[in-house]
Amino acid sequence: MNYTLHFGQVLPYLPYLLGGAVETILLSVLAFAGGMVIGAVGAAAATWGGATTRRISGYYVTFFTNTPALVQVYFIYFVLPDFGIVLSSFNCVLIGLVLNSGAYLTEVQRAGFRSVPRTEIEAAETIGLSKFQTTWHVVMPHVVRTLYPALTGQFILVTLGSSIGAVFGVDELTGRAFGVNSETFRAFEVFIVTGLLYVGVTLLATTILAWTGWLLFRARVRVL
Amino acid sequence: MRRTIGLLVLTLAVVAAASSARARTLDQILSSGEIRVGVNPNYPPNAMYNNKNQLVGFEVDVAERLAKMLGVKAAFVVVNPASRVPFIVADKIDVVMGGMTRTPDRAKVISFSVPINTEAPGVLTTDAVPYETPAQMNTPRATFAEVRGTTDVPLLQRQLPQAKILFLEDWADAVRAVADGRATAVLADPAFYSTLLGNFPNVKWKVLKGSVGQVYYDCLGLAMGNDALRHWLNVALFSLETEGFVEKDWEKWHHAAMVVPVVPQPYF
Repeated sequence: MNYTLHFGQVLPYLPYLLGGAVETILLSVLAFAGGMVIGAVGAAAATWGGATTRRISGYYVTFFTNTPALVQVYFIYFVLPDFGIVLSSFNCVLIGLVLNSGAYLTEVQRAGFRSVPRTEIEAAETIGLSKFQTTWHVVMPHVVRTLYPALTGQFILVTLGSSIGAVFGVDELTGRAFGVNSETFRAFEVFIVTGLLYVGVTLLATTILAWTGWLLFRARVRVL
Repeated sequence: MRRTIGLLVLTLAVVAAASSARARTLDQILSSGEIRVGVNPNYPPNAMYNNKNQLVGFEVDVAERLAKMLGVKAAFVVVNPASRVPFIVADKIDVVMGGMTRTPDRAKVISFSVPINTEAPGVLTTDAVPYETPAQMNTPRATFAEVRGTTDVPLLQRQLPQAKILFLEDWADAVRAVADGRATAVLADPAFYSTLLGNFPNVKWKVLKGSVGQVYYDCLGLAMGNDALRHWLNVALFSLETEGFVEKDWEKWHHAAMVVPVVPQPYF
């Protein structure tokens, strides 16, 4: 292969790519936060709900885990305008990722809910905590602590999955990398730098997750 | 531990040996009996699939004519804007088309033949929009839907710096964005969007009068240093342009003459 690597040619674009990394972090943190909320509600519905609630939760999870995230966002972005609902690129991708990660997180958190000892739930009932208070004070710290590896894995998948935003005009890291590649034609250098930036973004994102877990639920976890 | 390192070194050696392919010279192409041409079927009518699922279009016709002049077959490889140059560098294709605009940045990595067609960008918008000339759209209230990495993007950033840009993956998405109201307009050569407007019969399209200032030249791209092939391509393209083949074939696919014609020069 008659090719010489010239990273210096790509260096002027580094601030542009870093801006994309910031957009990626923003998109993935928001998507994961939304997904966790849906996941907690879905998991609570699946564990403590009646037959109909359990079935609805089941259909939601089956649909969103068995279709590609790209197809889901395509629907929101290209099909909804035909029904009069036109959302911005960022919002379309965010909603799609929230619904998608919410389904996976429902399953992850359901495992966590099941693993809380029955005695603790009964003790919470005894002292008069509502279902919401039980979830927040008893179940979630347990879930975050014991399922931390699974949650981190899901967070990294959401971060990497945010790259589908490139197809819909969200100016995140992958999209910007494609743009720089088309301008300079230096695919090797651009995508090596982008790969390294993604590693940095996922490390930063998992640190944010650990920090949030500590702040909200006093759950101490190891990051690396 | 030592075995892992040994395995790693062996893998790298195999990869390095396999990737020492160099671009095929003119002689090698002639002996092999085929020339590998990269085209992008997402740019109708320069290249697209007909209803028998065959590749057809202006660029396909030009490539087949060039192959006939060489006395070889044309083997087509589908590329997209991100892969067209890596394929040249890795010797997966000999020549690439697909609206390969000649720019100084790109000329650092590949070499170009003489131009085959031009791109004269204009502004496409709808009747629902209050602007009459491109200069009026130099405001943050105007959003242009553009394809990532095309030469229209830096042109837009230079000529209309205040306007916002929405980056999408291909022209069909960009035209759709304007039809849906996500974007105000598209800045592109009419050749790229004219076949797509028919998909939106309810939208009243309008092309603004006034140019946005620059003509681009699309050429055939090939590997750096592949001089014999490049020289032959220049001679062949001059011959095709002066005999009128390029003009006639362009009109056959685009149903209109090239907005700015390429004037063939006898010296190159």
